[in-house]
Amino acid sequence: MDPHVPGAFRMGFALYTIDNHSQQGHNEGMIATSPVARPTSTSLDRLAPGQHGRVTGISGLPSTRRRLLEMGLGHGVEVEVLRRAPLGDPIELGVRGYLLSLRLEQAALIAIDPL
Amino acid sequence: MLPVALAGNPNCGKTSVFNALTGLRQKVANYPGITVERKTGHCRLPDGREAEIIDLPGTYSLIANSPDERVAMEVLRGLRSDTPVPAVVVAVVDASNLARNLYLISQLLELGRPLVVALNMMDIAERRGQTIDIPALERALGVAVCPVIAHKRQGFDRLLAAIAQARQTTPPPVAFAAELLAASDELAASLPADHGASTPPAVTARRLLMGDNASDLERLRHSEPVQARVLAAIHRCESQRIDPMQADIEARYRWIDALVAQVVNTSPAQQGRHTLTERVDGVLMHPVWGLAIFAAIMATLFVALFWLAEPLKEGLLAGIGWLGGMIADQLNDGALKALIIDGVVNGVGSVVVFVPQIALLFLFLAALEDTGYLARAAFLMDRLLARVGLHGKSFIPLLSSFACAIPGIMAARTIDSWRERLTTILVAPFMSCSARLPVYLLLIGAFFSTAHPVVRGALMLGCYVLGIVAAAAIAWIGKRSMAASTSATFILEMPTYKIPQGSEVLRQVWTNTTAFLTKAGTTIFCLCILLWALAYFPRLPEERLTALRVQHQEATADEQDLVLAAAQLEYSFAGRLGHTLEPVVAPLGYDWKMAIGLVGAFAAREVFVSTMGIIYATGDSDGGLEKMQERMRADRRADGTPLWTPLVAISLLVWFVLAMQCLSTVAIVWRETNSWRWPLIQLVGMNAIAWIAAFIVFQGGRLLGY
Repeated sequence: MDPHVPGAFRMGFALYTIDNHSQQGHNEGMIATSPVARPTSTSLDRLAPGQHGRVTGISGLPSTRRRLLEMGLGHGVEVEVLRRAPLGDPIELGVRGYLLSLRLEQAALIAIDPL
Repeated sequence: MLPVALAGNPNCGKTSVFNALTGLRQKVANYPGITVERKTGHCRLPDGREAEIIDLPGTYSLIANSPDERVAMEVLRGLRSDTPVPAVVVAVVDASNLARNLYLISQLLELGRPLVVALNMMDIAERRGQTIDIPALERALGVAVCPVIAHKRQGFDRLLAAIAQARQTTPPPVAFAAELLAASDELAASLPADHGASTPPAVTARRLLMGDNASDLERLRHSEPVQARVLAAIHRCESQRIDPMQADIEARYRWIDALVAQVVNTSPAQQGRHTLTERVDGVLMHPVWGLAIFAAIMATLFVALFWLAEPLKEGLLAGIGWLGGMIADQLNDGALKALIIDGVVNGVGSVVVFVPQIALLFLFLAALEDTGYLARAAFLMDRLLARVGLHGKSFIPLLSSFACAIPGIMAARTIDSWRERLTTILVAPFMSCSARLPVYLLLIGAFFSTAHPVVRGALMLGCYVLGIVAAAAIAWIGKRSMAASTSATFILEMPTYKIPQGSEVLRQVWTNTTAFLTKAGTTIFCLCILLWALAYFPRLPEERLTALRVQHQEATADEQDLVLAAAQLEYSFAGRLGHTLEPVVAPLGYDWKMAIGLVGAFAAREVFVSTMGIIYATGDSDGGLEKMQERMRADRRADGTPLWTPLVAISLLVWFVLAMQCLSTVAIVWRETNSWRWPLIQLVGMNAIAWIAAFIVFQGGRLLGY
């Protein structure tokens, strides 16, 4: 419901996952066109407090993806889930040296390789 | 005058830097047409020039996500006709959080304007064992980097000198992916010469591929051929397995990560240790302790609002009354004297009576925000609030509304999602504001004076709870009835905890209180004058005056005056209006006198109390409240039954909890939502709900035999 994004740029939902096996420098910004769930990968909302993970991709509306990426949740970034709110939602994580809180709904958009 | 824009992430201490640069020479206004606040101030540069500093809203990126960020971006790109193009940009950066802050810097470097970096919060970085190689950072960015500790006012000489000598920037050496560059170069070459964008074609092309929605790209976005080429470029990238937006952002962060690795040195002892903030969060965000502490803080706030504010209020009112009396003694009887005493003094009093509670609430909130706790409060409350269609960030607007809905509604600007923001704005007036308190006190005191104090306290609490329940219900209904689109995002940074700075907090309170006085105060004052005129004119004919004097010739002179005043009120426009409205409010148990009171309450709700004071001819003398309550209890209807019964009192209480009466609030809602529709719906809707609820209470009570 973002009134500022003109129609032409609403690319709608798309699942962008990053090919985890290619080399580091060639990986950024790369997409796979089919939603492939890796055996070891999960999403950020499924990590328990205290767990660490590495971001492998972000899906969702373009404006949400952009904001999450701009806040530093890019490919290969390590995150630590610190806690959940008393009612379970939102969660607080440590990323790039600062503290960020996200609703589970947004956390579910972030594909993670648990560490 | 040199226009200097102050930009930076939220929570980077930008406001402290602004205060340090401008001292008391600040001004707060509004950007025309929208609701974002505009803070400007002056300072003198070492070379003698005057600089006008514009404190921009905090933003994470030049691609805006909310009205606040949009304004910041537009000022920085020079797109606002009401603001001069910045000659120098001062980017405030949180040194303890360098990586994410540098993202905005990478965008600012592409603007081409002279830039200076103020590296703030150096003390926090030091505490975390981080040392930053400033000269290396300066070389890498190509701009002056000035370490400051804003709240201690350290480092500002160097900053001012750097501002005076700032040079144009060059874009950062970010290595964008080859596929992205190829696509954007091709797009850039194809852009028409008159594209109207504020950036050179290469940068513009990348912005278009990112989905940037800034106003300077309007023309290009609406041009069919350009749109088609943009989409084609994006598809070409995707076929090469590159998402342009992701590639752009991640390329920047690659550059940032390399830079941070180069210039920041974290001492081995500190690496991997959880910061003090994280450890405090362990308590304050704990499922049990966190909520308990939160409840305790809220309870303290409310207790302080009621108990601390009362004596301050009494004092202020006494002062104004004394002043008015002094002035009145100099004048002869007549319209002017009446205007001064009843109109102006009452009008000013009605406004001023808010100030203690509002200032106290602002003080509390500013202190809490300065510590960084409010973000945690939003975190704790989000689930609850989201269930009824609100947002974690709605918490502050709703809390503020317990003092006055006007600053509360303005505080809703921080909510990015329009739907949640609108819902917050629409239900904020249900939070019983400080103007309702005198009414609650009058009614509960008058008609439950024999009841146990616990009962009276429970009634008072009940009024507040009723408001909260009504707000939750309306918000929930709104959520269900609006199209079930995707839920709003909650992406909120938890800032580092810090000790609130007394001077900053007080300055914030001052700014907010004076803003309230100018916005609401003037409206309330004018409406009070209008109300005075409605009650003053037309004047009772001489014969009636004489007849009344004869009738009451045994009473004291004071009592006679008061009887005449009551008669005058009934004869005036206000009185006639009351009689006209009586049929509308009769089913709720009210009569024409209360109707006049309700009309007056549209100026400001506590005017109801002073109107009752006039009607029951008790004036403003000491002991007036008890006497008024006595007379109210003694008043009879035409059929002899008491007019004021506990049931009527409760019906009135329900009305005041739920009705939308404050016209100043309506005006603010109009401004904040930019349309007539919502304030109208709110006005009509809330009053309809109030009427129905009071009706049910009164008639239901009647049926039950009360």
